[in-house]
Amino acid sequence: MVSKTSLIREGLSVLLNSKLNDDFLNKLKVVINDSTIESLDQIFGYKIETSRACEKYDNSIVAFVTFWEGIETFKFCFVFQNAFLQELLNQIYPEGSVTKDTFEELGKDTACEIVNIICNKIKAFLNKNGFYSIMNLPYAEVQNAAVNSLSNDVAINANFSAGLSNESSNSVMYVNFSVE
Amino acid sequence: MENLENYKVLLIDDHQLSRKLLSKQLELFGFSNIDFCMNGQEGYEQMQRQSYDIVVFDWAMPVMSGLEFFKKLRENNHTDKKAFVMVSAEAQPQKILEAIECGISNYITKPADQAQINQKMTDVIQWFQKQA
Repeated sequence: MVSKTSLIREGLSVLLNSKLNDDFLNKLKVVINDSTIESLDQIFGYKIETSRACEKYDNSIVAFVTFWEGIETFKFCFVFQNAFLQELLNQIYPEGSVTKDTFEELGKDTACEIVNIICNKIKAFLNKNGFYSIMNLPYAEVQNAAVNSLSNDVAINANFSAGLSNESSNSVMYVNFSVE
Repeated sequence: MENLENYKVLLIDDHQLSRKLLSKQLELFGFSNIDFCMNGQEGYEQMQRQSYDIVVFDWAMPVMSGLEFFKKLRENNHTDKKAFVMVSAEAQPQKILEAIECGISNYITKPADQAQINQKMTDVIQWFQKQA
């Protein structure tokens, strides 16, 4: 016999999946792109732009944020190339203060605060569109192994490269969004 | 404007990046007497030891959030004759309203630019001048 609780859970899951249709995911990707580009410009005056799926990143800092959405969770994963983070840190901290010894701590702190700002913009969009997301505090990890940005369980993959104003077109970061 | 060096400012944020950016903006406005804490609990304890005129604080922080920090100060009557400015990434209008309804009259959404900081701090200084 099916319990009332499992029926409610199943109903909520169906409702959530119907909200997360292709049209909505396309809109969400635009919000992720715009929020990321706008935030990096506002905080650092650094111009990035959307790009095609990036190559594997060997050395990076990854910041994670979870949105609690009733019975499901939305997971955001922001992967920053170390070289890109180093450029950002150089704009904020005095010359010589970002060293091998301090990079990990400063890089994680910076990645988390950038992601906090971006994800609050995303949360405002989601909750304006019928979701009831509760966001946790971001946390970050060092990633030394190569990871492919595209995996099967990712609903949205957004990639970014340094803008032309930075005279480079290298991939600098990507964002993955998944539902669990 | 009167001498801004006389104002004691406490800046509370768990992220070094934000402490760095905000303190630079506050210094550009003219403040020079700025202390730092990393969460609401540290901020509360620091305010038992020292008196501050202006408290600039984040909302989402570990240990004790900015809203909990403010409510605790208010419950213990430590908010009189002080200006509180919340600077948070929270962007939902109804959440910002929640902070304002708690008595936080100054709110800036991160990332704050220099013009926003200047405007808000000018309002704060004018408020102090009216109180005098």
